Amino acid sequence: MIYDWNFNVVWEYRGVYWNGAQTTLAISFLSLFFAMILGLIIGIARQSNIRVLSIAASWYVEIIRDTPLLVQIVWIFYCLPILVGIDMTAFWSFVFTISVHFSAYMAEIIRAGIASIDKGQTDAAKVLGLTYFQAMKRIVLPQAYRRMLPPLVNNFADMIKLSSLASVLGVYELLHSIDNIIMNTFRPLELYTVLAIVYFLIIFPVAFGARRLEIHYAQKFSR
Amino acid sequence: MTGEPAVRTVDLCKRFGDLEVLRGVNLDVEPGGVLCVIGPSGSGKSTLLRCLAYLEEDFTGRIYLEGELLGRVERNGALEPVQGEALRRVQSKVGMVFQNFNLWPHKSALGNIIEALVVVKKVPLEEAEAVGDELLARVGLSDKRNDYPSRLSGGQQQRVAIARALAMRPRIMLFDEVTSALDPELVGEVLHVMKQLAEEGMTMLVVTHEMTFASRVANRVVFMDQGLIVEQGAPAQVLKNPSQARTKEFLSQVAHEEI
Repeated sequence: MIYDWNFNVVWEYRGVYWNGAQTTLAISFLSLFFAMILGLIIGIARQSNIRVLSIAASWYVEIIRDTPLLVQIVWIFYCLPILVGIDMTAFWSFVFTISVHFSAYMAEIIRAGIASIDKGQTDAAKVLGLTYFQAMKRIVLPQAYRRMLPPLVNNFADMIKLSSLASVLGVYELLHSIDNIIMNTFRPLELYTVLAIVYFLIIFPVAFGARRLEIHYAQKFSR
Repeated sequence: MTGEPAVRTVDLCKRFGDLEVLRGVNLDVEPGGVLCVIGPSGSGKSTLLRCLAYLEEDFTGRIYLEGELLGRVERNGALEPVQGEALRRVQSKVGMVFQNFNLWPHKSALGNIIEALVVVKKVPLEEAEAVGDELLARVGLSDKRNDYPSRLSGGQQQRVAIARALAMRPRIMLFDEVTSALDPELVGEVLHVMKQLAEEGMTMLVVTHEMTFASRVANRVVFMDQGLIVEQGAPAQVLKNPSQARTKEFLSQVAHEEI
């Protein structure tokens, strides 16, 4: 195939990549933050002895997991404001949706992580007088966290990739920004190729850092 | 509470679904006494200790620790569950050591010992560390202060677990088959620490298969089967000259296994 590659266009629009990457990262980190908090609450609620809480949390997880993300994105952006009367910008609407969506998956990871800790660990804490929340914070979660880390990081990597869906709401993250340039320059090969590289450069350190952290913990606490 | 037994259970019953694990256990342990509980698997020995530690909350009957009701309050002749500080005050009289140590793997030996001191009793860190060091010396593990549990042998882990329980200054210590998970050569070091504790006058309830320990250290032995106390008395009587056929049968099986 003969194609006349011309990467000048990429250099020319480097600022657009930079701005798009910033928006992509902002969406990803904000969503990670909110999804973690929400996921932790839902995950603990699912483990709760209070039936109403655990059933409500289970339904939350099911509803989120059994509807497409794209449908959630458009429903929350177009329908939710009509129902509750709260107007959000496209950016915040998307962050909200991604946070809610991933919180369901994170809740499952957190629930499984907590369940994987031997009951003897909390028995020891209870006999020594630690409350449920002290035992959770100081004994269970620090251990469960090490087991949760790999799947949580995978979720974060997915979150960065799926941030590109913000383009359907017109948010100028990486993909939408580059789409815009392509319409003016007609150089999709160069621009999309570099776009893929930029995504890789963002996601690879996340995955690599997580693997290092996993090894660090394994060496610190095991034989 | 002079004259009160350190531990008293009255008609203690516990069931898991349809399974009745304790079927009316009545037990007294005098202050400073060492009571060894023996019996076959599933006889309710561990469940008894777990009830005394309030790890099993849903029991019927009464448990008194130094004369105070554990986990219940009597109102108009009926027992109601009690929570919060009132529960904690009575529950804190008890320390427990488990078969599988249950040390926290993400904390060092010292960290395990001082955790509850700092978090529950709000003892300043330096003071807690001094207590931790003293207890580590007492169980002969000063050199393992900063080691994580995974770097300790089973016997060392169990000694840390004993030190961890002692850090909270319990009045009564519960030992649940604490040597069962250990290699035979490591059993002695743990039993040695327990013997020391008994000599210091600690009230102890020990679920064990170590008949030699029971005969030498306990002042009373209880034989349990199917959720009931079948026989109890001085070690020499229960272990050497049991009156019940079921006790004889159990002891002959244990003796056979030991051979």
